[in-house]
Amino acid sequence: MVFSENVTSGVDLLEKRTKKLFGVDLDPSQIFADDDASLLYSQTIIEKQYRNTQSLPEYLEAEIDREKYGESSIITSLKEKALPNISRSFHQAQLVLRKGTQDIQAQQLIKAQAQTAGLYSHMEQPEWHAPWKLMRVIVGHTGWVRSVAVEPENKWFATGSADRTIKVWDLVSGKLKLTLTGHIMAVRGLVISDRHPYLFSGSEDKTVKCWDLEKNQIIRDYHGHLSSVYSVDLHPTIDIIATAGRDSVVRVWDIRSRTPIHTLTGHTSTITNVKCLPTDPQIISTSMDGTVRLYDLVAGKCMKTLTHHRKAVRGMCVHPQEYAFATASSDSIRQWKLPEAQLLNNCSPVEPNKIINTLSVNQKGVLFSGADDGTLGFFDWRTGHQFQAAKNDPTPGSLDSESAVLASTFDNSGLRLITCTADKTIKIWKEDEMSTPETDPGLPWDPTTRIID
Amino acid sequence: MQSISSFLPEPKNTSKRSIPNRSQNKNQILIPLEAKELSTVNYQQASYGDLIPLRHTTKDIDLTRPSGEEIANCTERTKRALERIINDKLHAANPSSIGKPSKGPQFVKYTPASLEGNSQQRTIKIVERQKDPMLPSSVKHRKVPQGPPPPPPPVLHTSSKKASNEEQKNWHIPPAVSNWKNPKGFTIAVDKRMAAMADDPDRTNVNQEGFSNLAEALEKADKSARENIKLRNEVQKKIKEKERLEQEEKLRLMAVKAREARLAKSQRGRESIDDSKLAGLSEREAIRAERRRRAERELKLTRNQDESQIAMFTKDRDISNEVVLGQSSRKETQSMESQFDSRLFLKASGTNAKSSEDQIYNEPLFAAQEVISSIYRPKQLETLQDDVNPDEELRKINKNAKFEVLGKAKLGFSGTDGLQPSTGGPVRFEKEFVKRPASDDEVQDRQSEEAYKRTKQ
Repeated sequence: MVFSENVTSGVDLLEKRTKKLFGVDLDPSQIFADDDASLLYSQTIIEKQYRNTQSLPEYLEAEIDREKYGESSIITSLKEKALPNISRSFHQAQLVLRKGTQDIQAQQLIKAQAQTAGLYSHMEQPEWHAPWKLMRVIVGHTGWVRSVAVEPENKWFATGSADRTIKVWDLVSGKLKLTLTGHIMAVRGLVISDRHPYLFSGSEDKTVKCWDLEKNQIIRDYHGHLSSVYSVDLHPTIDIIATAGRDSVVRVWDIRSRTPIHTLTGHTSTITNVKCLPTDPQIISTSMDGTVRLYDLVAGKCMKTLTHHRKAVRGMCVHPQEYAFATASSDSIRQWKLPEAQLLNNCSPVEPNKIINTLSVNQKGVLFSGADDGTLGFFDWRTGHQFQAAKNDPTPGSLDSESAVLASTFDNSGLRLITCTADKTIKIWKEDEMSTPETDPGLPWDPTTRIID
Repeated sequence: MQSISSFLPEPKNTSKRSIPNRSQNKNQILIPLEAKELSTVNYQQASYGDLIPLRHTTKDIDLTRPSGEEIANCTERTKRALERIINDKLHAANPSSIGKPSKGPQFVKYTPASLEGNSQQRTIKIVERQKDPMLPSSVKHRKVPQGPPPPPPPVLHTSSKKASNEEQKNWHIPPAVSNWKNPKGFTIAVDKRMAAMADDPDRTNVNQEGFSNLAEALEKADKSARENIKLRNEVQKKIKEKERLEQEEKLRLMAVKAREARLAKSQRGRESIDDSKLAGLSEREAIRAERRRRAERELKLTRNQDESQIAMFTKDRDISNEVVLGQSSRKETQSMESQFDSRLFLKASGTNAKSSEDQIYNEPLFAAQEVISSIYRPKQLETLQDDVNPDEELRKINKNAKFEVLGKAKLGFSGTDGLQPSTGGPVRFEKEFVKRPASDDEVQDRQSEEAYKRTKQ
């Protein structure tokens, strides 16, 4: 950190000069005595010494005006004593002088001053989020856990695994409630309907099954995929489901009649995710060919293609409250504004170039990314700032290579994070309630690292 | 997103629009239903601006989810469209809908328009002809080949691939060709030069006709100037020659005058000397002069004769001979090239040269053999007799000094007198004479002697 060194040296210099001027033991805040002569004296000195910093950049002025540091007693006291002719920069200098190098905010202010480019001036500070910690590890599956879905009432959740089963777990206690068998290969996609007592599952055995959760039976089969089904989603308002997989087409089915309504083509490689939205674009899919496609469900055609990602897009999530979604590939995590799918923001992971398997976002604006090597990233949704980096430690007895996070979701309240890992366990994470912004400030925020690529 | 100006009619000369219009973009689907929200927002992203995140440029972004009404509208619309598709598919799949008879007979009133006027209204019953449902259809359905795929979307990410050779070649920009500098001396093709020159905006155009005219005129002028100079030179030469002749004439006249004066003077002097003496003197003088003249003439003659003879002799000779005969100096001035003796060229390297045309090989095959045999073969004995004693012969050979002994080695070493060098057996040693150490008297004597010698010196 070359810059911080500069700052400290600058502060030291200031201190020395002040001492030279006003004597060794004099408190800098006492410069402004009510004596007229001393006032004039200090005024001239300040004029001479800080001539170059008479005027601050506009955004800094605005920053000060907003009284970001208003709660600081030093500032207020200074403002009370403030002389009409002394520039505000001196206040800042005083602030730094008093608080020393420990004050991160002051440092950041000066850092912002150094960045003359106005690009970051309007960018918001990231919101503070409590760090997430592991709460529970659920063991039960005998294969990689590849999919997860939370019930609308938030009482239980279902996981699909490579051991060909779908298991239903109690969300609160983490106890197994039910095991559904019927698929003959790994279950890769799960979705639970909030309008019917149905659970839809897509599997590597090319089938999509509809389970009746009142009878716990398979009641429908959607036959037509030419290869593994990797993702299933239910339309929020219409009784149709969209499925997609290795045959690089999205198929839209009528739930009741099992009629294939549309075959949405366009992707040239395996589709990793498919999501349905209530308004246009009603279907969004991500693919290993590095593109994100938005479909017009009425016409059954691709409406728009997003080619910003360079590598395979494996992770996707739709924000529960905002009209936006995020996609992740190994080169970047990007947020998109709907309905135009304009690039909203880039997230900058601390550890770049990780294969991100899954993305989830909760109502509080915490974006979670789980990578293939077990790296977990927690981002602030609005700014794209990563505030926490964690590691998914594989359970004792499993291999290091089995730390991959394969699927994840927040529960409906947004307070629990469920991650499915390659070490055959399900992990539940929660926010650390004890933490405060002071105890856990999180990773430092640096707006200059935003990539435009 | 639409501004007011977008509702106005387009200006007359507009041909291009920066943003692809929905109707222009073939990739887009036209939706006749109430899809107003789509028409404003959907076009393929293709500009640099689409790469910049909105959060970097815009402060307050409206990210509210669509309202319930919007959702209901969209749902309704989509549902209708999908239901149509589903119904079609289900209807097609339903076997009961295939062989269904259509509506019953229709009755139509018909009044024929005839010329005679006795038009009688009739009622016509229209019944659909019965069709065999099992009959294959008379219309052959052919599958329409799929149309071309939509154009690929613009790629908004940098390529992670390395450029191929071909692509690199396409991007190659040839280096500039200078007409003034070529430090490495590359040969630059004319077309490359022309291409480089064509790019130069400052290049002046040469009028080719005018240029040729100028060149011709210059050539003519040059020729005439040369002729003039030649003529002038000739005239000058003539004038000079004339002057020289005049000068010579003048000198000659002066000489004649001087000679006459001298003659007159000498005659005057001679008259004063005694006649008797003079008669003898003049006679001898005359004879001497005559003799000298004759000698000179002879010398001249012989010299002329020699030169002509030598010239004849050296005609068509090689240069080395000419040099020897002292005739080469003349030719040296004629040609600046150095001259070589033609025999030098005929001669191969060294001794291998052929000496005549008849010789096939460069050198005799057994030349070396001859030399060897002459060197090393022992001499044939003069008298090769049968009764020669071999011991005698051996002794004779040994006695003869076979090798010349050089220098004083012939004399041998001192102290070896009388000792025959042993021809065999072990080396013989001799007892060494050890000198007795000198007595004190002797030492003193010697020292005094030396001192005396030193003082003398």
